[in-house]
Amino acid sequence: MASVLATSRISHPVKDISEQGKLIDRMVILTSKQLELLDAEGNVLWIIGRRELDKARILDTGSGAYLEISDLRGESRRIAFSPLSGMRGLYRCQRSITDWVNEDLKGPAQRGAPIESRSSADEKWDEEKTKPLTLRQRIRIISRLAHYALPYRNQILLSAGVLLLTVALEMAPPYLFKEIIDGGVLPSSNSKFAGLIGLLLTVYILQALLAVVRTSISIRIGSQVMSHIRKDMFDKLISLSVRFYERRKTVHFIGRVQNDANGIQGLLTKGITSILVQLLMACSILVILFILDWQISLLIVSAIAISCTLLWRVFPVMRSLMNRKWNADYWLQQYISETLHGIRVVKAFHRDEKEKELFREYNETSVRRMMDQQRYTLWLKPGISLAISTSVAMVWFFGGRQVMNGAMSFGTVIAFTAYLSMFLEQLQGNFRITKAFNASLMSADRILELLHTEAEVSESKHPIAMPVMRGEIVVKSLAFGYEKGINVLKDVNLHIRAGEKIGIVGRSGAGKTTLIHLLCRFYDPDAGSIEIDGVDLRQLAISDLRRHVGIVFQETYLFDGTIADNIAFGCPEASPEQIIAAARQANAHGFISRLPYGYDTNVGERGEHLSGGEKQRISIARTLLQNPSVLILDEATSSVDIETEREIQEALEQLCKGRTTIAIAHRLHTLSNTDRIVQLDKGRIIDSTKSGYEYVGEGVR
Amino acid sequence: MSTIVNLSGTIAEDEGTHDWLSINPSQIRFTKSEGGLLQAAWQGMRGTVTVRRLFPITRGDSYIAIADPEGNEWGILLSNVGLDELSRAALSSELRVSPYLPLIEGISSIRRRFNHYVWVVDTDYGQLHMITGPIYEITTNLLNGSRVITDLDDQKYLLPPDNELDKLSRKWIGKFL
Repeated sequence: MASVLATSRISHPVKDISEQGKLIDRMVILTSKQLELLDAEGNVLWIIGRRELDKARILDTGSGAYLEISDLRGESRRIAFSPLSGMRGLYRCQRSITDWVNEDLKGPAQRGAPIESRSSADEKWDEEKTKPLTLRQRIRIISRLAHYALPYRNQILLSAGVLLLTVALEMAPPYLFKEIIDGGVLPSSNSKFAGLIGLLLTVYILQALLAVVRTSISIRIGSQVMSHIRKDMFDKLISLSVRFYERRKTVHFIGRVQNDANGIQGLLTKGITSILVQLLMACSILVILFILDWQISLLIVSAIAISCTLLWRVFPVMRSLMNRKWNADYWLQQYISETLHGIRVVKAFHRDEKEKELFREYNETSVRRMMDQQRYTLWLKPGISLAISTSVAMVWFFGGRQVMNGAMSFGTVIAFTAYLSMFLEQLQGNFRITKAFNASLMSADRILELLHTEAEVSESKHPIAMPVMRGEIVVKSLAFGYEKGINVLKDVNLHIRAGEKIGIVGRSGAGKTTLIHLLCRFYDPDAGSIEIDGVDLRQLAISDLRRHVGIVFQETYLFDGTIADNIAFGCPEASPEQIIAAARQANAHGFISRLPYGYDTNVGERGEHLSGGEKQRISIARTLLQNPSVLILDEATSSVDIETEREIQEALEQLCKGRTTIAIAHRLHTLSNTDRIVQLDKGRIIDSTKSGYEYVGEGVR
Repeated sequence: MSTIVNLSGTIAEDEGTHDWLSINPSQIRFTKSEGGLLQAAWQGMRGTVTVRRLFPITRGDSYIAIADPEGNEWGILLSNVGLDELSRAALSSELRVSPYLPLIEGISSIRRRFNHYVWVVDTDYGQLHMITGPIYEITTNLLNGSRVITDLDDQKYLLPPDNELDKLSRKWIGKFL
């Protein structure tokens, strides 16, 4: 070890707060003999000998932390400060100093490699995030969306072909007008006149038929594409971790799954082809216009180029306004949802008027933003109509003069104005599509944003199957915090034998529920591990974990449906006999059988038609039916009266037989039958030696 | 009887209805140790203390919890008004990171990248980069028109009302928020 230390020089880039209150760079250097604190220029600010140093510790300040070191005389000094983004680096520096003090240099530090304040993976991740998307990435994203339309490519191509035919047909009427005037009306040729009118009618009928064909194709594939997108979005939502939902309001996902999928299906099934075909049509008309009269056409093209430049500038503003409106609608929706969910509290605390006032504010913001958006586009439509009218007037002015001079036929002027109107309508149509395209792109953004969200708790690439679980649990050096830098559990070590009944006690905030949430793998630990039957939970197949680990929550959540549906929630294939057996064991059968509709009674939204005790017993039956090897009870009787608790307790006794059981309870007597009590305090286990009988006895005394 | 800061922000007489210990600013002394730790002396107690703003956003200079390093609370300092100058300076410097909540003084840019937004902001801690999720998910509106922005690290930033920001910042806010 001494030789290693002699050649080691470990560097930790850290941050600190300057006297002026700014975040500044610092460097902690650990050499074989001393710790050096350097400023950004490399000047040594402070030195302490390795043998004088006692310990290093992290001091949370709220959304940040100091690294403080103490010497053997008990004097302390802060050597670094880190915001949340650098907490890992700060912890790494602390560990490194601790190891260094204890002559326990390991890993890369032994080779003198610098240890960065943040892992290189973290930095690469941040760097990636700040870069604009490359063309390849953009194509990849669009192709991810395009794959929804891919199964229907034949129908989409057919639809595009039909549209092309429609375009070709639409070119015919203005030319026929010219022929009708110049070859039929003016020379008074009845036969030619009748023939041309017949041809015109045929074109109109064909156009109508093709429109029907195209719409029917769109209807068929549109709904299927939407369904596919919704399915993927919901699959993703279900696969995301509990933590994802803790940080977000769930209400807006309803809108996203419904509306965004709807918003994008139009774009994929007909939007892109429509834009392409309409552009093609506009180009074709433009060619015809140039053939008819290139000088007037040139004038028109110049005017259009100016209009397009203006539109190009309008485009991003429109998108921003749409985004802002979407944000306001989101906040409004979130507010309504929250208020209605808490309607009892609102009424109990007489907050009706205040809530109405708040609603008005959210609503006004939403309306104001909608008006901003509409005002901005207000002038666009009349402006485009004015441009069309002016262009037609210009054609009549220049074309009419040429007809009067004999340089152009009257039919040609009619055809020219008709083609011009068509062309400008195409541009207007493209503008409408572009607006819809913008809205669809926003939907696409949100869809992809969700689909690209990485699940924090994900299945291992090579999951270990566990068809049978004995239920031996080993917790090793476990640390976890919901927020960076604030550990709720610290260095927890625990061994639970298969079939053992454990009670977990501790004050509120001691980390009891957090520990069982980690056991259920709702979260992954920040440090350390949990093993069941020798397999780390992160390696264990999630389906097996869920099958073998059952939990009765403190807050019972029942889904709208029948009692039978709710009991069979984890085992949809359960027979009525199994459902009744589970309900009997859970002491729920008695009250269920007295209900007019028995097991077919609808429990209402979140089980609102049932009492707290009834809901709890149904949730116990639900877990019993699952027949888990490891049973977790999170204050399962905390919200019921003594009589109900006694009945539930009896049910739980049934439930615990032959299983590893971990129970949290505030009422001590409910833990008297446990083999061992684990006492938690401030995230650490302070005792795990007493039996339930001993512990409860002490509590009673 | 001591003074308390009531909801309108003024100091009122404490009726003594609470069960916590209020600390009279004139009776406590704060100093900084050579190592940068905050130390206090109050009613015979003396030593290193930790301080926490109980209302860091709405009442930054009032209701400051004083505790020993193990978290045992001495009491609550109702206001920093009345502290001697040295004590106030020592306390203020400690409270700068309690919590670490940068105040955004200006927005240099907000760039939309796929799935997230990259902000470059000038704060009272200097220029910072932050990466956030979708804008609608990361803002919390406060009653005074300020907003709290939360980045992907859960770090919070205080964004003052629009009228307190410069034109460029308002442009960025107008574009995305």
